[in-house]
Amino acid sequence: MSRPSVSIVGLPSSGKTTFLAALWHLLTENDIDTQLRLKDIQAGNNAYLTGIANRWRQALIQERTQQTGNQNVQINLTNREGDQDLQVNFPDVAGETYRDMWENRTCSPDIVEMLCSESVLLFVNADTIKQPKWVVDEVAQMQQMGLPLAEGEDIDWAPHMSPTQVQVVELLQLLTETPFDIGPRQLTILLSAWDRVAAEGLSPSEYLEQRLPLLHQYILSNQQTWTFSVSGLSAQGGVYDDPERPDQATDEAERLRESYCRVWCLRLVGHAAIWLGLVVSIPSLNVTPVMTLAR
Amino acid sequence: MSSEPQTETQTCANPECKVSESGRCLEGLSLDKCPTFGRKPTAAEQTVIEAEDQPAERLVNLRSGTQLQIGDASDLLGHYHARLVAILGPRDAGKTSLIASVFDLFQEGSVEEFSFAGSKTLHAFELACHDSRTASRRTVPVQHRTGHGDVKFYHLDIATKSEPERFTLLLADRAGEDYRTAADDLSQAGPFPEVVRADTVTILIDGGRLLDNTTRHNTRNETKLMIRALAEGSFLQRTPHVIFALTKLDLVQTSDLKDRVFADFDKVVEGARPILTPHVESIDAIHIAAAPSNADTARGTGVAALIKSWSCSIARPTLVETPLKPSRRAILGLQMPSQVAGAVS
Repeated sequence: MSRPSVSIVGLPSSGKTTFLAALWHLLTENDIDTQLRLKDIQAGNNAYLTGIANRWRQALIQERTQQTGNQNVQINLTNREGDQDLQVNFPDVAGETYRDMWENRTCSPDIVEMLCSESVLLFVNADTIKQPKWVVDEVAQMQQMGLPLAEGEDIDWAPHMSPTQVQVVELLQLLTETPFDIGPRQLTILLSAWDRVAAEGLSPSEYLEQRLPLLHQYILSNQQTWTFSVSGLSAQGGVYDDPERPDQATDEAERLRESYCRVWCLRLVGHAAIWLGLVVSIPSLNVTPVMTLAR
Repeated sequence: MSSEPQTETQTCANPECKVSESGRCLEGLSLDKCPTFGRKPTAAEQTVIEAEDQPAERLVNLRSGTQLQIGDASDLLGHYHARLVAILGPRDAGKTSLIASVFDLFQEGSVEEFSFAGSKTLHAFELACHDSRTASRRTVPVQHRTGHGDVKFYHLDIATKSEPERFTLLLADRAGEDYRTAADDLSQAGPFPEVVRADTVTILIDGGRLLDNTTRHNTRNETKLMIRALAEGSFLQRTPHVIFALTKLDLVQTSDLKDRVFADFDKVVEGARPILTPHVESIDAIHIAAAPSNADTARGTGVAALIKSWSCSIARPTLVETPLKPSRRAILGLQMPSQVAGAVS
């Protein structure tokens, strides 16, 4: 059995665990035709996958992976004909780990091993991208609107203030350097929470170019290192309830609980991963075609 | 009746305490007052103790992302397509603004034919950009000054649409005061390896200071002295490109004195030509507004032209083979019989 592995990379709250939950639901529920199917449940760590899929079905926000600990998930898959098997490793690493790599410039040896996969799924929450903003633009805007300038104390720079695209570019750069360097890799950029930004009418590649231009330039300029594709993904389908704040339950989450599968299927766009030279869509239901950046 | 020592009570919940051996409380309290004496740790305390006993996980240190030291920069210069840019100018001329602006322009997309391809100094660039960003909570953009000390480098890989190969820019950052020393007293000037090795020397002339009657003449004079120091101090051994950049164009353009400033700038450049021409590949002049203080002038005006100039490599003369000097070691000075004149075969 082939045993490719996929490193799931992304800053905190970028949708990594939600994607895994939706994926596990899709594979175990078996009510939607997918190109790859669950071969068996012997690979292990099913309790974790079942737990996150349960929360997903209840439209509840996932626990932070930082609290549950990093999980190395293995899933045994087979193709439709059942004659080609593969075992996929998905290390579900807390976003805080990637934040530490950017801010504190450190990483634990365990994580190094988990990030040396030939395929990388990079999650970026399309709805919470921190854009660079400049003082002169803001001042001009406030003056145009006749609003007073907010007087406050100057703040020193800290790494967490940097725009999303700078942090993500650095993560990808670090993956090409010692101790993560394993040569050229496959890169799939998943713009999560796509349902929240789809109304803008941009394709995922256009969205990347316009909202994350530094990342867009970086991957276009490094195609010898990264064979990439970009897709929009909505594995959540809406705003979930926070179990720690039961008083703030929303109607939207309740609607999702009633019809979780339908909503999710309708809103899922794109494909997920490429490995071993086989293009594998997870899931490949009634999705829009794979969107690839113009090269 | 003999009294047995009450060893079972000589315990303490504080693992650091040696009361069982010394009979004394670690905190210096009488035993009846000590809150941890005479009992075992609670479950919560035990958890803390165990956590503290765990060896700290060894972490892998990653590249720092800060400015490069001279050794790291030297390694990158071994790359055929690397260009070293020395940026010279007095304090507040806009060096950091310019460096930050180069990076910030790529945050919004490609800059004409140039695209961002990578950087080993993203933390340093972000720090340089911070005071012009809203995250700083400033209401007026400012730039922090480069501190005294050794030269350090910002790194940027740039891809071009016209060339298949990308190139590396190393932007040298040194305090303006250090360069001024060279103009004041060449004998006291530092070695300035970044200037000696530079592919391009960019000399900044502060447009704001040329606008001000009290600083105008000194600015011109300081620049002239710096030019002479470059020429006479053997700093231009590699015949680099030289670019004069008039900074703070946004201030100049909105002033009634703009024609005077442009004339002053042109005069400095023309005055430099006869001095520098024997030592340099080319001399160019550019007007820039790297970090305008208002929204009327586009951020990074002129910076694309500057990047284009920086991207040019120096045309090197054909290598001339230098004859080897005879070795001082006798054994290496020996010649093979066939090399001896008149040798008989």
